[in-house]
Amino acid sequence: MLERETEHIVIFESGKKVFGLELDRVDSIAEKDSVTSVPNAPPAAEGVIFYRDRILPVFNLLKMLNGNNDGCGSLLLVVRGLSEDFGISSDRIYGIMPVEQLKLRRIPSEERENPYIQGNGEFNGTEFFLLDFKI
Amino acid sequence: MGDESSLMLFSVKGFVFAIEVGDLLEVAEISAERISVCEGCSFSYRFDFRGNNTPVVDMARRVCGMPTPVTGLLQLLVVEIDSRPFALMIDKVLEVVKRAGIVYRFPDMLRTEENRYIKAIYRLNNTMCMEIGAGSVLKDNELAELRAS
Repeated sequence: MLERETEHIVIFESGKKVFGLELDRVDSIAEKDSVTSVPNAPPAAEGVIFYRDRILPVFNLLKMLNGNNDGCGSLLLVVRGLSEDFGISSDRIYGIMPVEQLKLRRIPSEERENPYIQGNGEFNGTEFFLLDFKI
Repeated sequence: MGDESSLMLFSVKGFVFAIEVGDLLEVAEISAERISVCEGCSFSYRFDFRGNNTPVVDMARRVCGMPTPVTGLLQLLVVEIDSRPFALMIDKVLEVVKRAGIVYRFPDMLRTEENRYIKAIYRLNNTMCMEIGAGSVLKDNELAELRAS
């Protein structure tokens, strides 16, 4: 079965690392308003935020990937999750780039070391991790 | 009581919570001398409530693992399960409000066994507070002990 190729990737920075996420998984990008902490939440959770008439859980991306807590970021990337939408913090958005310009290398799912990283790519000489949020 | 329900807002370690006023038996402020450490039982403390030795859950310990210093005046919310009272030790009562804000479902992605007591998120003006179900604050061993008492 052929996987549907996404045409564009959102390139962004979070905690001094660069990431890419398929555009069709991104609902929106906004300034991050104040986050309300939630007791006893999963370690990578920053809390909840009120955004466009709904409550979104917000996660620290680096904590989600490897447990490091390296900054939160002032931007909110709203991700379309499979079960519910959620936000991840970002410091900077580099742009939305067509895949042809990004030298993408996808890792077969059985060879992935991290379930949230489906490969990597290169953007203007900078390497980035291609995220996969099938959650 | 009227049909329109009210919520009591209270704080614990900087978190703002809400509980249905109808779920409260009493809101009590007691001196630390009236509370005793509960040796060999599942609860942190006990105190005398209407002549009964009533268990107390330290919400600060539940929320962030840090116990409330048992000195001076202590704020307790007395609730019940199956007509068996127990108390929640909190930091401060903030206010009582009519249910005028919007209630949101608690996100599944933030749900853990340890925060199962949060029923929903209630937004009042610009404050987000977590509505709790008093019964689900208790851990399984505490609930079993309360029911056996």
